[in-house]
Amino acid sequence: MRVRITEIRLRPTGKKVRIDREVEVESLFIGRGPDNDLSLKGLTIALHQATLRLAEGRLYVEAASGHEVEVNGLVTNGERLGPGDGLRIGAWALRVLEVEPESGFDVALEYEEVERAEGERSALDERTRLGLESGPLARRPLSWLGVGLVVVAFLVLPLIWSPAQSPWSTGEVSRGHAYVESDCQQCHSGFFQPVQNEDCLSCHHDIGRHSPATMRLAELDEAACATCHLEHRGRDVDLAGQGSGFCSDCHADLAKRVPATSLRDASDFGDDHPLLQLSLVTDPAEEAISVDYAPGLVEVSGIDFNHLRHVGQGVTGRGDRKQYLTCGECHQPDAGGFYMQPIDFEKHCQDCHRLDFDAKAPVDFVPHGDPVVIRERLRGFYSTRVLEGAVRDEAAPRRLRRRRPGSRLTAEEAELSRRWVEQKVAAAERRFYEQPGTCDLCHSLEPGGARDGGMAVAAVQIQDRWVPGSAFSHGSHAPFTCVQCHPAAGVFDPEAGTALSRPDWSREDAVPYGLIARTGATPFSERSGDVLIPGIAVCRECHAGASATGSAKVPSPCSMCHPFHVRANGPMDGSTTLQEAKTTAPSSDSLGRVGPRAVHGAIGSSAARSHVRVGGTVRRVAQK
Amino acid sequence: MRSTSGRANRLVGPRTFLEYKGYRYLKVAIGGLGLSLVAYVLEEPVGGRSGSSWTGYALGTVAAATIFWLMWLGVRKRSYMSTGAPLKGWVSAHVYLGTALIFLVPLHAAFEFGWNVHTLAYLLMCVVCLSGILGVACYAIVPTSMTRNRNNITLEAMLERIAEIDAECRIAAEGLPDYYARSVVTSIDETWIGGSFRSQLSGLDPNCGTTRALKSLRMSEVELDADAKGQERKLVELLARKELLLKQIRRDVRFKGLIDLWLLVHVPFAFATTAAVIVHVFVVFWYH
Repeated sequence: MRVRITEIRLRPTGKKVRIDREVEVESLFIGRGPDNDLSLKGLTIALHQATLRLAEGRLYVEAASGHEVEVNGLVTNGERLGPGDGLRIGAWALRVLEVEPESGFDVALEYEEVERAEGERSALDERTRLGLESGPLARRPLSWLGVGLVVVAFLVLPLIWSPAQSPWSTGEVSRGHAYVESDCQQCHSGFFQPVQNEDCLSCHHDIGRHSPATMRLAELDEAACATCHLEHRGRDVDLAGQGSGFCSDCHADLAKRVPATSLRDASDFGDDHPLLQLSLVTDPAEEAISVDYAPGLVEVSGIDFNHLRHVGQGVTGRGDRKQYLTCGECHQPDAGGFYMQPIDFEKHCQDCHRLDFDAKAPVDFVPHGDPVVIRERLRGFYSTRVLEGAVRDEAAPRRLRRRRPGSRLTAEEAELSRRWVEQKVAAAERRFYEQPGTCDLCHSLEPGGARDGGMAVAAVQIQDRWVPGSAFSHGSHAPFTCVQCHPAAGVFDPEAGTALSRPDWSREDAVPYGLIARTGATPFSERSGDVLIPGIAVCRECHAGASATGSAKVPSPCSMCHPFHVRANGPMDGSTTLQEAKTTAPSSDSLGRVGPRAVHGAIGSSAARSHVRVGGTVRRVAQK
Repeated sequence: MRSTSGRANRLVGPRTFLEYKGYRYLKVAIGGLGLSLVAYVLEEPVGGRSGSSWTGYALGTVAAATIFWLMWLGVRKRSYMSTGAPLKGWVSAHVYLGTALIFLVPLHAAFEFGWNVHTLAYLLMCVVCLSGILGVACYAIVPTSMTRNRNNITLEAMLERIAEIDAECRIAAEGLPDYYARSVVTSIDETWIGGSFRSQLSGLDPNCGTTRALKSLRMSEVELDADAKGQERKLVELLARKELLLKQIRRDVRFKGLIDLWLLVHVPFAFATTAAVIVHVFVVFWYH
């Protein structure tokens, strides 16, 4: 077959030229090899790729064994070709052309390189990718991602959904505030402002001022609660735990800062602390005075009492049973375990010191207290006997003894009765007031001193808050014996023949009283005027200053004994004045503790004093 | 001689900024930290030390201002027209002041940390600082290995050589059987340089077209005449040289990757830190 082959070649100028050649072959071989009729460059082309063959006037293409050709875009092994059909081999495109019969050719082909092989270098560059950053793994998108995550998770989300605010909290709140931890606005009421004092006072409304309301100190009055009470520092952090350094900022030289103060300077319990100031009763009818602790102070309480007689010897109680008294028999701590409850005649004395006046009267018929009241009780007792017809007294007028119960008294009987009742009352009173060892055992008597002209008992004032400027907990000191701090109160007297060899005390409760046997040099207390409260030296046997290190003593910050907030000074918010504060909290002491600090007034005296009846005992409430 | 000694005295690598002006910014950083420590120790606020004491606020302000200034390096290094301090001075201060933050921020927070956005800001900042330190270490170590690997040839020249080898291979394979032509095509078309994050950092390509082509040529059982045999030997030699060159290039790419890798951590975390610091300041003043 005769074939016209036209190569379309691209000149470097960009022009295309056609170069024709003719071949006369049986079959036309196409491939990379130079021995082909149509040799095409390109390593992707086989040495022999395909063959064109004419059979019965028709043109066929056949791919060499193991190879393929692309005819009109379709991959095939062999195909019949006609004018206009296109072949694709490697980077080359072949087209079958129309042949004019007069030209004498059987077949006409044209071919050109359509995928011009670009330079090796630019091809290599296409397969080369340097630089770590690609797509989202690049600095810019990663930065946006980081910023977005932080802003969305920790700013936007918490702003629109408050439970997501927990990462805003700088730490756990203290134990007492745990129940409001998830409700930020409970304390942080305003945005872009610190926690306000009002936020704290909305719950802690009765928290007391530090200084008296009359003593306005800007640095205290204007201070924020949060200055001292730092929250969000963990469950176990004590919000009230301040070191002594904080107190001594002012109290080291308080008189210079606040000339009006009556407080003395103090900066450290161990090294710089004034003597304990006792509230000492020197006249039971007057208010106690404040004195420095000193040995040999004498209290005048209006009561005669002998510790040695009670603790140091066996006593005979009701039923003539010999018994041994312990400290705890009379001195019982209050419910909070802080102070000792006041001594109460009915509870602590009456078992032994009975107020009997008539064998026929019920036991404990006469109350311990106001003689005027006692007289009324006695009159009532004997008048009732007359009315009930129960007078058995041999010395009574016969008409009274023979009266029928319930019958009306005649005027004459009434007069007889009145006289007899007064005789009996006078006899009973003689028994109380004139028989030694009854009322006068402890009290001074004032004949005619009562408001009804009868016998009165001199004023009594028993101190039960000896050091009102501080708080003391007997409970915290329970492991120690009473005599370690109050030695003179716990002396017993072996000479008295009481054989006090660990009697029942230690079995009855666990408190070891640790009584001390009296020897020649042992100080003991026989007089009620003895002040058995220890001084600061006794405290310092165990307690050192807050910053004490290396010693075996208890480091003791100011707050161990002196609370900062004193309710008696009025509330922090200043809503009430000092006077109002005093009247709203009448029974609280200067430290704001509600305690039984009652003063016994002159019992039965005609002096105008307010009395309240508490537990059957007449007491006058201390009024300043 | 003079030029040699001059080169010995000239600072190279990170020393150019680490030893800038006689460690000026190292002294500034240590001095600042010392002052901060003194302020921290001296102030004994009521309620204990915390981020909200006066020292806490002051140190926090300094730390936040430092962070924003450190971020500014990203702007400064792009402004080639700057007439201020030289860039290496900036980098020197950036490195030392940034490292100082690791110690300054705990003083600001009075060592109180927790599971919250405030500590998150610190942790993110620590990642930034540590990646920065790693970056400085990379600058100190990697360029030496890189120079040794390049052996006075630039990457550009190496790539150019690869392209030349490819062209020579095409010519060498022209008269050889299809088996060889296919191997050469594999070697050219299936050899990739760089590529994915992993392949750049590993410096290896287990599927390298050139390695496969060389292997197939060595395993070839095609019968060749003497002429073709000569061509084949030439081809094998070319591909072996290409393979060696590729190893060298990939090592170079790997070193370059190591130098750039820390920035991929440093910069995004720096932005996240800045965002967290802004959130921290916002929250602290929103609820303070």
